[in-house]
Amino acid sequence: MEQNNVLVDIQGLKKNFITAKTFTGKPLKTVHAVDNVNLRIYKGETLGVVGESGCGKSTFGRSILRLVEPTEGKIIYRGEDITSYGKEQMRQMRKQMQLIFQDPYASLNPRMTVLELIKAPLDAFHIGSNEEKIGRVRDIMELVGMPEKMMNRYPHEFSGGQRQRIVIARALVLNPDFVVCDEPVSALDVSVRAQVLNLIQELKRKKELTYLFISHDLSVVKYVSDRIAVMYLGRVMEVADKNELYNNPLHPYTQALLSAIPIPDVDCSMKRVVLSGDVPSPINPPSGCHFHTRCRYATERCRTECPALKTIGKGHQVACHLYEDKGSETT
Amino acid sequence: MSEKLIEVKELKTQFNGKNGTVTAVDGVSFSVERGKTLGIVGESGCGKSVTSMSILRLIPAVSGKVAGGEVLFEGQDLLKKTEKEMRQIRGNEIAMIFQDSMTGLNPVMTIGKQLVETITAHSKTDKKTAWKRAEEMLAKVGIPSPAQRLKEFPHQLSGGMRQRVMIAMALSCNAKLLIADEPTTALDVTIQAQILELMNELKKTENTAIILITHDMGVVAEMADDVMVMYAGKEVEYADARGIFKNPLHPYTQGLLASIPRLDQEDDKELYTIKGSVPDLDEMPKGCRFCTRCPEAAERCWNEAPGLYERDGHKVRCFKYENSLENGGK
Repeated sequence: MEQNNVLVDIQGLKKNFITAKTFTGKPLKTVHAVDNVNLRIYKGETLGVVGESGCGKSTFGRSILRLVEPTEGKIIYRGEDITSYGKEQMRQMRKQMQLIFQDPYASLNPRMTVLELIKAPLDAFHIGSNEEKIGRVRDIMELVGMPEKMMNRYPHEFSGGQRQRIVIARALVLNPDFVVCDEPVSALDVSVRAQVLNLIQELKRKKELTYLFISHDLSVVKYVSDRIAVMYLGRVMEVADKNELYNNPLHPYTQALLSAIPIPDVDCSMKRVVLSGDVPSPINPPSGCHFHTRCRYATERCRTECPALKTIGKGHQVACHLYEDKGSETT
Repeated sequence: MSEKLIEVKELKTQFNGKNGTVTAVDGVSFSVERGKTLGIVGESGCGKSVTSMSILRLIPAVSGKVAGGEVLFEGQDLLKKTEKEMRQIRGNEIAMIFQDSMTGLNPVMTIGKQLVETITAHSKTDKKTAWKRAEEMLAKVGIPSPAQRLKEFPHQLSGGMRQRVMIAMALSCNAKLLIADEPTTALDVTIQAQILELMNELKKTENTAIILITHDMGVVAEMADDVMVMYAGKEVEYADARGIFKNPLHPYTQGLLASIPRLDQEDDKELYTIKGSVPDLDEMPKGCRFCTRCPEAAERCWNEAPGLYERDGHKVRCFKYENSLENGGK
């Protein structure tokens, strides 16, 4: 039952970037952007990924689509290992998997009209005649709430929110099943952000999509997601249902992250856990648990041994030695 | 009344646009007392940053000018000061920290040199004492091993650290007013928490007045004593923080608060949205500037600009309150 519902199964995913080499070509400095991530994305759900800058969340999203080639690990999509696919096979797969980018100012070609931009994926896969293509563009524009008369305009004529609608329309015109949203609302103003968030939710219902939603903003992630994964320096620290994660955060990092978010209310007196120091560099991440340099509960063991992601309670996984005895290891 | 450290009256700032001048800040008034924080919130382009630049007279003369109003700092009008006098005030009396700490610091000078330069420029101290003072300042803002850090360049520090240096620089001259323009927007939330805590501490120990400019309602709720909400160059609501968050009167403030996804609330219902987007400054509607997006806009709102109505210090610019509140402004 459960197996059938898994859309994407990510197993031991790693991505290293080599930033410096020796004279003989041996790697000298390696950034461990994604470090052994195991996650399952179920059909029809939104899995949120949160973390601070440099935690590897964007690289993670891109490596699932193989836009950056994973160093190690498997990505099983509908039961098939897509990491073994060739270039053309992977290209065909992209009809089913799409990406919505963060910056609607950088991701639209300024010399293409809205029609050309949204039609581009249809052209790339030679889908339908020209009239059919234009028909599909018209349909999708209506779906994302853009008037048809905007079709022949250029991106610079639109505001950030409108541009993001174009980016979303382009991603959805091929009717994908799985969409990676990489910080889709971070560049937008508060009032416009709400419009785009609602649109993303509405499209999910109408088109039965599965989302991987990446953001640094925990309140946004909580609003759109069903489950949330918290990342820190390339590793998943905690995965849980959104309400469970908010009401019962287990990992010390999640607790600090949650308490650090200012709530727009004057009566809210949340006890704040202020973390000391900065996020360490992913070039030389701390040994053992990556978080031990900033953790209040760090012990000797945390410095040497990396905790595995363990299931504690229903669907709640955490990677921390504190909860050692309470759970069983997952594969 | 003498408690007011700075009082801005009917400030008006204009820029030269393609089609004539545009008014970015249009008759904004506010005041800050010692040891208090005023939060200025609004979306991009609402004029919140221009307001702060106007106070310090940092608007480049080629692109625009402060066209009217008064900026009374300790009773003296800053707009009437000469450039030489202004130089004494910037940094010494009023310090500013910017969103992007990398552009605020000189990349080819060590942190120490920059701090010493600031200190010696504003007070008569020799280099040695200034260096000592710089070290103290860094320690005060919570930078570990300050003596070592003084010898480093800005790129060697992280974003949070650089923002601390900026604050240290602002403090090194015992500024009475600190203007913080989106000080934590470029930082991660855990680092943001550190910086906000630091600013709150300084407010208490140094009795510094703070003008905090941000788009983040959460940050405002946490930091500000008073809040001014701006929309398209005008203040639409001005009250104490409790008034704004517990009893928002203007439809824009209400919409803004309702459209933020909240961590502390169940979120199964749709987010409230303010339809449309902010009109361009040169295409502003004749009447209330919010009327194009307001769910309650009436015929009159399109043709006539509402005044600022006030009761018990809660000011709001909306015809809805014309009769229930007394007229406090123009």
